[in-house]
Parts: sequence; structure tokens; C-alpha cells
Amino acid sequence: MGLYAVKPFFNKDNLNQLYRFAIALTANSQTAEDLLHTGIERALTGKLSTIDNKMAYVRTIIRNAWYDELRKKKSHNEVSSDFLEDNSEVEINPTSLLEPDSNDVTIQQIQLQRIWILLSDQQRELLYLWCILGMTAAEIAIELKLPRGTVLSKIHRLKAALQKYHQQPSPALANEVRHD
Amino acid sequence: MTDSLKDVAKNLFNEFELDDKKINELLALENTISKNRFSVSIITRVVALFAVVVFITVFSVNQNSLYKKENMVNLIVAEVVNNHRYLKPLEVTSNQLNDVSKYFNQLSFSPYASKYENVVSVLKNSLIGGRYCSIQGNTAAQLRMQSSEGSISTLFQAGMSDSFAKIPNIDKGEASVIQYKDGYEVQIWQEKGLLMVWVKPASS
Repeated sequence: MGLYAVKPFFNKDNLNQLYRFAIALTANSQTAEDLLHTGIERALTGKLSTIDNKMAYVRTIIRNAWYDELRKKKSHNEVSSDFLEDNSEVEINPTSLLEPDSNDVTIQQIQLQRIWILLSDQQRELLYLWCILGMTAAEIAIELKLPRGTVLSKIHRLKAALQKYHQQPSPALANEVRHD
Repeated sequence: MTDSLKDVAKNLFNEFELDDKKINELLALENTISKNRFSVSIITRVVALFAVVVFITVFSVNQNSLYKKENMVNLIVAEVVNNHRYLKPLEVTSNQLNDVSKYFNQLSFSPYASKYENVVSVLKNSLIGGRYCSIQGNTAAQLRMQSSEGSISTLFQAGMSDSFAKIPNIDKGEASVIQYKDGYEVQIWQEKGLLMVWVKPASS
């Protein structure tokens, strides 16, 4: 921090971006608002002013705050079992090792809205980072501190499940997405 | 109608937007926290600056004091070595300290034998006389000793002045200063309110 007052970092646009990130984690607008408030407060009282990639820093704080919250509710194991602790790499064909393209998958808005709530928080976060922020697998791997291969596998599974759901929309299939 | 996952996801996420009230609340939060941090930062910096100034001041005073001490020692060493080497004629000759001391009736003190046993021993066995002199402008007694081998040493004694204040005081447990110049060993200390300087050949 310099001797002079720091120029404000947050504005309407980046607050909404972070809100949507919190929505991706929580799937609940009120919880997302609370989480965003907590995250911003922690970031501002932390090292935000000295960080280069401030948005990634705030996202990390929000993510950690969310999982802390889940741990407090003792439901973390249930929620994280399909993402945080399942970092295995699935067998995927060689072409899938290339950078995945979100344009490969087509889906109706109504279908995504229906399946949205069935995805885990980690899958929604992955969808957000990949589709909304347009991050590459390597960038997601850095942000989530996971191997790139693991991220590729997760994207592959997410794509496959969404495709399958698009072709055969059924609750059972939606469940398959959540517990892949 | 189907669209790419990217477009559909964007549409879905864009449906979520904070209302103005929440936006303003969060912006106000940043403003408040930043101001507090700025205030804390200013206070921290002022305290740190103050600490640095205090440190520099104390350091400078110490350095200055050290410089003054070293400078005074060097001046005394140069002066007494010259005095010793010049061997001006003695004004009183005696091998008894009491007799020699009586001669120095213009001093505010009587020449004293010191706590140092080697000084006492030399005075007792080798004293040949004394004369007035001065050290840094302060009137002093010069006691000359000559050993049976012919080696001459001189014990200078002067009343204390402010300029000698940094000289080690053996009454306070401080060690005397020893310096060498032109083949002479010069030992300097304060004792019983006197400046004592003993000059002898370095090899003795």
C-alpha cells in the first residue's frame, strides 16, 4: 500500500462477475450475496492491494469461504466428494487431450436451467471458469491448483454428461452428471 | 432452439445481477475498509519514521561520543609521547613519591600511586623525579621513572576536565585504553578523579 489512498478496485461490473461466481458455487442468490460480502470484506482487510491478479485472489477467497462454510455445516464431504476429492483422470480419447471447446456442446437454455441445480458446486464453478471467463484448462488448473490433466478430465466428463442430457433429458441422466 | 454451451451458460449467468442497493453497500464497504487501512497505514508509517529518527539520533550520538573519545585519546597519546621523548629537565629529583608530590603544590591534587600494581612497583623502585607539564591545556604532573637497565617511563597525572570525560574510569570497572605510537606504549585511564597516562617503551 502506498502512502496515498488506494484507488478503489471494485465497481459494478466486477462485483457482478464475482456475484455470478458466488452463484456458481452456491446456486442460491441470497447465499451468494452473503458469500460475496464475506469474500470482499476478507479481501479488503487482506492483501488485495498488493496482489496483481485481484479477481483471481478474490475468487479464491470466496471459494475458500464457501468451503469453510460447508465444513461448518458438516456437509462438505457430501458436497465435495464428486469434485474436490475426486481428482482422478478418466480414460479419454487422444483428441480430448486437446483444449476443450465449449462450442462443441449445444444445449437449450431451458435444459441448462433444469440441469443447473443438479450439478455440484464444483461442476458449476468449472462451468463458470470455462464458459463465462473463457479460461483454458491450464488456467483453470492454476486457479484450482489441480493438474491440467485432471481439469481436462473433469471438463470431458461435464461435456459428455451435458451432451447426453441434451439428447436424453431425464432426471436419471441429470443425476449421472452430478455423480460422474 | 439449441445454442453453444458457452452462449447458453452466459445467458444463464447473466440473469443474475446484484441490485443497486447491494452494489452500493459493497462499494461503501470498500471505501470504509480502505480508509481505515489507510489511516492505520499512515499511523504505522509515522511510528516507523519516528522509530527510525530516534534510532538515527541515538546512533549518531553514540557515534559522536565514540568519535570524541577516540579523538581525545589520540590527542593525548600524541602529546604525551612528545613530552616523554623530549625528556625536559626534571624540576624535582627524588626517588620518594612523597617528596616529589610535595613539589606539586600548584596542583589541585597530590600525585597518586594508582591501583595498578605495576605502576606502584615502578614508582616505588624507579622514580627519579618530576616536573610540571600540561595535557590538552590542563596542568599536569609528570613523574619520571628509570629502571636499572636505563629504560625510562613517564606517568602523567592531570586533574579531570570535561574533555576527559570519555576516558575509561577504572573505579567504575572500565578497562584502561592502551595505544602504541612511535615505539611507545601509552596506557590511559581515569582513577580517583585524575587522568592518568603512562608512557613507556613498547618493548618493556
